[in-house]
Amino acid sequence: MESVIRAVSVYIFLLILIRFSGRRTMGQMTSFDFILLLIISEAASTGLTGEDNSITNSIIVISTLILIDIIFSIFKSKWSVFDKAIDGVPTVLIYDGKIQKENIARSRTDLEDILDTARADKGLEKLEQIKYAILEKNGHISIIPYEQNVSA
Amino acid sequence: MPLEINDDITFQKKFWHIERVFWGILLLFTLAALFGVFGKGPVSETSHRQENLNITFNRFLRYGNNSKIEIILPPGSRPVIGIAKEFIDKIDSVSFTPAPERIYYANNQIRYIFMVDERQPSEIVVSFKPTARGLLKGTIEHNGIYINFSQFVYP
Repeated sequence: MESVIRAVSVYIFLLILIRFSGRRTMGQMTSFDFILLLIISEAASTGLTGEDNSITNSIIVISTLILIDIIFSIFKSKWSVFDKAIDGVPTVLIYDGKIQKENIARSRTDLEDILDTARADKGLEKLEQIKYAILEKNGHISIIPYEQNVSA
Repeated sequence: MPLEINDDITFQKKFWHIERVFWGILLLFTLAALFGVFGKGPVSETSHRQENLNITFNRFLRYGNNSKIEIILPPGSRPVIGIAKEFIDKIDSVSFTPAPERIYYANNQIRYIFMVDERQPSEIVVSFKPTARGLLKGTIEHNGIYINFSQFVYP
């Protein structure tokens, strides 16, 4: 009984914590984010197992976590409100070449992040080449450039 | 030009079906765990009564994990309990609340004498960690009354 309750509590707590910490922190990890994630996972594992180091406990904890994940994925596919609450929604950072300052500030990104992704993913050089930049639910920035007229 | 993809929708549909069955099994397993089929919980906790002697324990234990047996001794009886040696041999970190005044070995039993108020029912709690997996059988004796019990220790 305890193992299931512990797994559900830690799952819900981490879900709330990560959701409200903002997707930028987990989506595009810096080296510090990575260290933070390691520390969190270490602390969470203590909470999950307690003093019970038996194989049975590990199996129950893992099964419970997977089951909650499946239940949540079913809820997300059934109710869009649930999906939005858990996974969030994409945010437009550049719309038709126009920089959406408020969205950029609120989502804690900056133009440098957008340019970084534009260079890495699309090989773009300047901000003017970007038609749309979207911060996706997973924290990745998608870049859609203006169509280039290539003359032979 | 057709899409170059190695898909197999017939196989995929069969797999989706198996996946749903697996989810059902996972749900049943977790519910069983929640109710104590694999450790402490309402399904696991049980009491055995023989005349005035009463013991409460968990049917399901986990290897190396703390567990306890509560023994209620009737009033007006000598506060001595005997626990089968074969049970004591398969457990570790044994402690009693209250602590026994004397411990001795007799008739293949470890016998414990407690200093308690004999006019009232006394509760003796035995805490221990099982050190053997599988079926764990034990006997508790008090004033010639025997209670046999068995527990299952998960790995």
